[in-house]
Amino acid sequence: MSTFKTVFLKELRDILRDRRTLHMMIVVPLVFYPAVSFILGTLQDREARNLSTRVIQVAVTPPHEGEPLREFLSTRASLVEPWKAEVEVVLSSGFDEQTVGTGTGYASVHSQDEIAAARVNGWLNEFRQSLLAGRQARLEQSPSFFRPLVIQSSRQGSREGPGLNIKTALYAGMCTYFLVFLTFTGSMPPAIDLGAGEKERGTLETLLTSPASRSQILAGKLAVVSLSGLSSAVMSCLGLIPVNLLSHGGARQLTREALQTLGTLENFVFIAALLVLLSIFFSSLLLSISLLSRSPREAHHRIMPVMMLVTVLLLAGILPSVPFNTWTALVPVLNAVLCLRTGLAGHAQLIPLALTCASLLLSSFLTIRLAARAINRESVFFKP
Amino acid sequence: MIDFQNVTKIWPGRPPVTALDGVSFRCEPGRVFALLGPNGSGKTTALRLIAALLEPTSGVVTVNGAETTKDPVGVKRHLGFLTSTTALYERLTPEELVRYFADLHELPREAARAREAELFARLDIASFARQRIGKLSLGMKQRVSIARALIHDPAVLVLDEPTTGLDVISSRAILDLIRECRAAGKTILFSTHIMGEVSLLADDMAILHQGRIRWQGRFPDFHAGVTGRSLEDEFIRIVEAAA
Repeated sequence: MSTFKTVFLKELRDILRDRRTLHMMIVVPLVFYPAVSFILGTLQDREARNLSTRVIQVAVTPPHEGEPLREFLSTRASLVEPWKAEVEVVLSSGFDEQTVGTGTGYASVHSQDEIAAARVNGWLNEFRQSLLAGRQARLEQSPSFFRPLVIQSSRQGSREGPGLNIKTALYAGMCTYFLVFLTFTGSMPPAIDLGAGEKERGTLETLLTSPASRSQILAGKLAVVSLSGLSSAVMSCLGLIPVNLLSHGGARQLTREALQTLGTLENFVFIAALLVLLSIFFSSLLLSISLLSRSPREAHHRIMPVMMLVTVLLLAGILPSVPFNTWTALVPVLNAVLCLRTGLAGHAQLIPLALTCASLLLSSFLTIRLAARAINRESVFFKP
Repeated sequence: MIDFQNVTKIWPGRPPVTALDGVSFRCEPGRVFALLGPNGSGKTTALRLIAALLEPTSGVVTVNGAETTKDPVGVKRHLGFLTSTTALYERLTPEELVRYFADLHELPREAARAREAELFARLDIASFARQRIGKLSLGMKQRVSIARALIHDPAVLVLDEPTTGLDVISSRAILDLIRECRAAGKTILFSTHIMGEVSLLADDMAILHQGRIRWQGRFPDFHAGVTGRSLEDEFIRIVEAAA
């Protein structure tokens, strides 16, 4: 135990003096996630302002049809000639006669601006409701006569369960993405430095001449690499605090939601346990690759495809259409992402959660075995 | 004492490469043994076998009674090993590095600090003991490397080309230290291809070429048998005769 502690403390001191590691472990997480939250919040604000203040240029054609509709739209938009319009509403022949009577009029909306078209569609719906109200009044029927069925849906955009708020799902997805991605990227530089880097500098040979066993050396290195990955995740969360305190509007709301999601004791324990498992898996995998490489450059090249795979699994995991079930709970990384996403959204499921923990434990065990095999090779300290 | 008995080391591959082929020699306490050979002759492989970094394909290597394959930790406790490059942690200071290795050897703190002070004074390290190793000159680094190898006061010292790349003054300091270790009764084995160092230090020597011992014996016997103009000529003659 004391040798493990000696190796751990030395490796920790060593990587804390390495600029690249510090950059990936502290600076990037402190800046990256908060910066994205700030930018997204600011853009959200700007978009909302734009939507509420923007006057849309609408043309209604043909000119001899749709006078009531023109009158209705003139209070909401600017009516212009077709060649100046952002949105053109083309009415069917005999539109006024059909809509005022008991027939059906047709209006088609043409625009390249989806937001403007959506707003005009909304106004046309309002106009339709006013026409319907007029017809109801003429028939002397209550409005409920024409609404025999009302359909309500609270599930918006995800399969996590009934009653899920779309904002919660969005923040959960965003938090998950950053936590998992930064745990991986935070483990990368120390894994390369403490494996292939030591080999290239010749210090691994020197270390192996000491009485410390190879398993003690590996354990010390693994602990430092895992800690580095975890620190990155923690730093990214800490970085949200100043953004929340110093910003306003959308950025403040976005970071507040994220901090509230992360801040409860239940979520904290849940996230910490899962990230510890994930960081052990990442660190042992990365350290294995590093120890099997002849130089940091080669290790980097070998880690890149792994990073791409992790990114793909990460993106798949935050897609609402990917379910968290018995099968996806067995795929490392994907299972952690799904587990975090559903857990943060308040819909943790016991069986997939247990399977995720079992799968991550097994994967970590296998990658630690791989790292042990890598460090026990005779050629492990040979320089390129 | 180092006992190298009929050791063969074959690297698997297509074709397999024989690094050492039935090599035997013995290094006695209080004597300096020089292992000579051109590049690629198998010197470093032999030293790594002694340090229990590699396992022999056949044969037995014993260091102070501990067999390298059966008790590698016991071997490493008796051994101070200096690699051919300084190979130090550049982000640590000499003080931190030497204390790290003292801890790995599980030395009691008081004894470690006393030994550290003694070595730093002897090797003139104290003035730069708290500077980062990455900022030191090659000569300074080599002195730190020696302090690292000697911190646990090993009975056996193995040095792989210890003066490579050093200036005359740094080389002289290291040669003086080797003499002191010999006087203290330690077993010393060093590899080199510099005949001048051999003539200054060696009591016993062996010439290794293509994985086999080509000459072995007492240095005065080698010196007495020189037929060419110099020791280098004799070394080259032996190597070329074996090729």
